[in-house]
Amino acid sequence: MSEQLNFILWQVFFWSMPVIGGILYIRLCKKGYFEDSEETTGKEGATK
Amino acid sequence: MNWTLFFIIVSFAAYILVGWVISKKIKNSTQYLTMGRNASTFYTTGTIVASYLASMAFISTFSTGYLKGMSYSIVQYGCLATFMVVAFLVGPRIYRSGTNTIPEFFKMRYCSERIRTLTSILMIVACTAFNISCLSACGVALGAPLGISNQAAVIISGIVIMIFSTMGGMWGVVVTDTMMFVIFFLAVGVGWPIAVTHAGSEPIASVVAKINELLPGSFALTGYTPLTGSKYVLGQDGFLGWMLPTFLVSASLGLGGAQVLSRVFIPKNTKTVAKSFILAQVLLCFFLMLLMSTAPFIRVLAPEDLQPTQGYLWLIENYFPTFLKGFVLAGIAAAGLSTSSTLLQNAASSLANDIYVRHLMKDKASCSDAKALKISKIFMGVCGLITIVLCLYQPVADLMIFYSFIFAAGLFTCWIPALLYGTCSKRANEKAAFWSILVSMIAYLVNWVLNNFFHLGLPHQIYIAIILSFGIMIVMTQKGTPTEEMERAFWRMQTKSYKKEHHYVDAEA
Repeated sequence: MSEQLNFILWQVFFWSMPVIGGILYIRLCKKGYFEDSEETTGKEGATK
Repeated sequence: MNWTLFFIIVSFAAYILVGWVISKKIKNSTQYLTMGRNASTFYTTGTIVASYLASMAFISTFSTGYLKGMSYSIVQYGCLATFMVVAFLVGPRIYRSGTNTIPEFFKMRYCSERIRTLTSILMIVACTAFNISCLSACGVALGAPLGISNQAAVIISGIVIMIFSTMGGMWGVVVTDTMMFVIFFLAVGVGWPIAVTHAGSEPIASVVAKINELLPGSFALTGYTPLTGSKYVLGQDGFLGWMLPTFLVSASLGLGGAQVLSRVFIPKNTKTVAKSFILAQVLLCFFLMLLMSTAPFIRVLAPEDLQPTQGYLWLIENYFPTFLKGFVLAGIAAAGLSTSSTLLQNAASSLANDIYVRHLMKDKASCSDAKALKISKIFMGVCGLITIVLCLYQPVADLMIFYSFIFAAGLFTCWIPALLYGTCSKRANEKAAFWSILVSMIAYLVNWVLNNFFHLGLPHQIYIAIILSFGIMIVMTQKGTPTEEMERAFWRMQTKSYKKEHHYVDAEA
């Protein structure tokens, strides 16, 4: 394997995690996984 | 004009000013401990990245790139992977629990005071040990460039942290963290082109070829790493002894590290929790790639006898324009200060609220919010002073400097199974969580002492902690039964649709 190809594969592998994270975030937002976000916004002083 | 001194004084003064301005806005202990649960994505992301990265990034992490090439940043992948778990599984659930600190979360989930005390002790020990390492690294980064001793640099940095953390609490720490995060990102961004352009007058391809001659596979995944490289070593000096434990420590820090996990309490909502952790992943990738790819270029430039840990500081000293030296050094110091202030905030809030107020205060029933706020501030000052004194005490500093963060970060492994099971399984029970944390914590400490003081050559302590903590949690969860109160605590963390899907009717609603 050439040095350049090795470097590119390495970068693809390294950056794949945040890319997967981003895609997952968008999909979960669409599915309503964070449905309670609007209700909880700005709530101060949770239970102790 | 001494630009180094100028930039450092200006940045330190700015942090103290921010702490003072914020202290005027803080009205209750919730704002002091969790920023009033109102942090935006920008602040949350900034503080996650700043708290995870420390001055050690420019010193010890950098030195691995200097010695083995940029592929060594793979060990940081543990953190990137576990950020995903925090973003989508653990983080939103902890946020919904409505608690303010990690020990308080454990208390709420397992309905037990003893687990709160145990996790507080773990947090105080781990955060203080980690903090000594951070402050010592600040001393190394600032001592020589400012022409003062490392001890003096530790005292100055420690006092600055104490002042703005005590005044501003979590709010002050988050805002200053974000300022520091911007500064050290600019610092690493400036370092890369300077190293590349000074590494040789030839085209960049020739410089890279020269680097590859000196350090084969510097820019390749199959470079020097013990896992994939040509110099594959499985034993104590290779994959099992060094690379895998470092990877696991990074994972432990990403999933269970108090300085990272405490950030799930501050955002506006669960969406901001997830978004911030994903953005933090992107920024960490960017930072690591820049820093680790700078290292081989410095290797070509630097004298052969240069200490690898001094590589980045050497580049700054020799090749940076005068006014930039101060700016970048302030950035490196900022990386340490931000982590240190967060650790101090975590240790002090736990000592004040989970240990002192719960167990030692006589009239705790009549403790008003103003008094709780005052106690938090006093403990912040006390913890800061203790950390500085420990840093200055030579035997402790020698023991802790640079690599004690591996010890401290690994210690967080002990509560990870209780955290994962607690957020994701309703079968988790108090006994399983308590014994899993206690036994693995004792084994971790004993193993560390035996290896470091008696040189017994036992496997790395993180292996023992992982096996024991997960083993005990799994077995005891299967055998035990949670109380109704514990089950209610589990459902309290779930979304409405999840409850509906599982036909759970909320009695509190």
